[in-house]
Amino acid sequence: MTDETFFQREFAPKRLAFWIFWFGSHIGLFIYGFFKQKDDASLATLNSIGLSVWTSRGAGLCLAYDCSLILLPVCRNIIKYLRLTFLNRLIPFDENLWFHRQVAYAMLFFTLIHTFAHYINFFKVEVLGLFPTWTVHYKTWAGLTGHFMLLIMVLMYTSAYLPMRNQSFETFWYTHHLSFFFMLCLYFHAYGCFVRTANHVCKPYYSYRYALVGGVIYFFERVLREIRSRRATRITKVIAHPERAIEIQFDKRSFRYKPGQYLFLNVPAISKWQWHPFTITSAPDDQYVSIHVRQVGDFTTALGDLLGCNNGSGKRSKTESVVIQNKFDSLPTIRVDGAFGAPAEDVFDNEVVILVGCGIGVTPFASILKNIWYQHRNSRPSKLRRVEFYWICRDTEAFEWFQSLLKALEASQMEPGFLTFNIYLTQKLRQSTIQNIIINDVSGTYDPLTDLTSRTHYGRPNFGQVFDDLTKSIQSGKYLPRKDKGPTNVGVYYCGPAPLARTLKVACKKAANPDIKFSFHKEHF
Amino acid sequence: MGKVVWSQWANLIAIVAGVFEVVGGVFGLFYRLSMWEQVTSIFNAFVIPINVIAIVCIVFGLAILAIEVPLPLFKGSFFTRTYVPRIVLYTIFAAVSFIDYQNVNPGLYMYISCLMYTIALAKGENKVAPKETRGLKV
Repeated sequence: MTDETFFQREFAPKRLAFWIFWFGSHIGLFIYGFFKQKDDASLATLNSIGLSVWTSRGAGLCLAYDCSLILLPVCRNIIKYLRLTFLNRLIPFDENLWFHRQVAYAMLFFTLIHTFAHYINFFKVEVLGLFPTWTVHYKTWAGLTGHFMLLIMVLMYTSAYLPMRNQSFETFWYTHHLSFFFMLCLYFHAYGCFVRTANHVCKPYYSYRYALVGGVIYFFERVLREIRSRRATRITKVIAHPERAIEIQFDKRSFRYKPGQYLFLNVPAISKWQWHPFTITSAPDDQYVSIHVRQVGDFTTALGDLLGCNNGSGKRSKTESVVIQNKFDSLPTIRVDGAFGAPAEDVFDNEVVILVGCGIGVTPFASILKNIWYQHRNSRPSKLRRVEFYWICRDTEAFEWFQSLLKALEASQMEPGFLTFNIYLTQKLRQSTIQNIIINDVSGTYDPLTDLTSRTHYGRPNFGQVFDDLTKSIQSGKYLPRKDKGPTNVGVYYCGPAPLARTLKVACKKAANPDIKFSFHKEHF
Repeated sequence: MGKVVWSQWANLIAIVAGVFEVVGGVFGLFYRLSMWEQVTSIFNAFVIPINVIAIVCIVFGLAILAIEVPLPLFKGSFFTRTYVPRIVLYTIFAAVSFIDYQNVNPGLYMYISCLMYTIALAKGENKVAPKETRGLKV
């Protein structure tokens, strides 16, 4: 597997443009802040300290810029609306958390410069006989809030370190809410005004005003989140699937979504503060909204227990899906925030799509496949001509989750060949199971494992080969008869672990040619 | 999605403290000041004209990094096998650091790290060194 190199990744046109903007804006602000202080004759007393004052002021301005930006990429409700506008073509909104991290790195860098410069400043303030050093550090607003912000940063950055986050997401999540106090300190950081002329005229950069804008926008975001999540929501049905998967169907009138989007779920009975993302598995035409939850962590297991999906032993041995509850009372209240965009919602803009799901990563495609079925039934037109669905699964029991859906889809085959299922089983099978499959496979018209007409494959798919074959059949005209002139768009959508994502991306690049455009999209988790 | 491993967090904070201890020490060589000069003059002799405390702090910082990263030399040694030696060491390191003007904050972080290591001890995390628990589910 050839991975893309550091150079190829960071110097891709879009990324390069961002880096130029990003570094350029910081360097520009630094220089501006630096010389505005240096060339101000009325600040001569302060300027007698020298280089460290100018540096701290320049870095301070960059920090104001970063602090007003840092909250914007985490406004998921606002981003959701912006995603629908023309801005979506200019700004990759799905990379919001990546941008959040870049701002954080810049913030850390300038914090270090700002702080070290101030350590020298305050030392020299005493040498000049203005104030004793320790009073500047611990008795002024600027000093105290600064030290407090440093402490908060130590806690936030260490708990956000990836292994920490993987180990305990909750710790990261709760610690990150220290940002409230961080922002509060930031707004008062310039209070008491340290930058004065000889006549005691204050000359600040008013950086708190810019930081306050970001804070206010984020505040509205949180209010919006609260209002939306508090609208009436009611669980209508809970289905326990094999492999410890639960399907929760609920009813929320105010909830609008597109296939392939995800939502945030909060169950007050388990935790008042935790919000967990889940992909929506129903289609907008369904009477209900459904999500599939696999019990793997603390929260999901607690949810399973709460909904009564687990026996005393905690594990289900049954292999069939069971409706656990469909009474309206006796079920816990849930709160739902969403729906949020994911790249998979653009599926319907392609002529040919290849959907690749791994294990539970099939969920966004369940919604899309359902939507295809509804579109076909209600004869609504879309660009879509062919759908290739790949589901890579470890074991047979996992098939049961969506088996009924897949069967319904297959039975309702629209044009022949419109929808192709390719199911891959990667687990090593027992000898007896193989024998069983061989016996049943020869005689039956349905696959012995999935009960579908398409046969199950064993092992992993070779996507390089798959794309090659696809290219050939499109070029020969067999694949898309009566096709208009012009290039064909093939969308590859993937949801699953990262290693296969890289493989797919490379395969997409290799397979691309002037007539057929392969575009790769990946779900973010 | 597991429980927080306190020693893992303490480890990271100790690394931060170690880095700032070294950097603060280097700055301390050039800008010599005792944090307590307003209160008492007994520390002044250690700080001016040569900042002995700062030099000691640099050594401390490097020692912290050697224990926390850890250096191959220290791997599995007395210092890294349990958390008790670090808690004792860092408490002393921090107390000394507080004398130097630039090393007050690293000292504070060391105390936080000590506190977290103590919680880790209380929760019985001592069986595994923090390096080995990284990324594992406990």
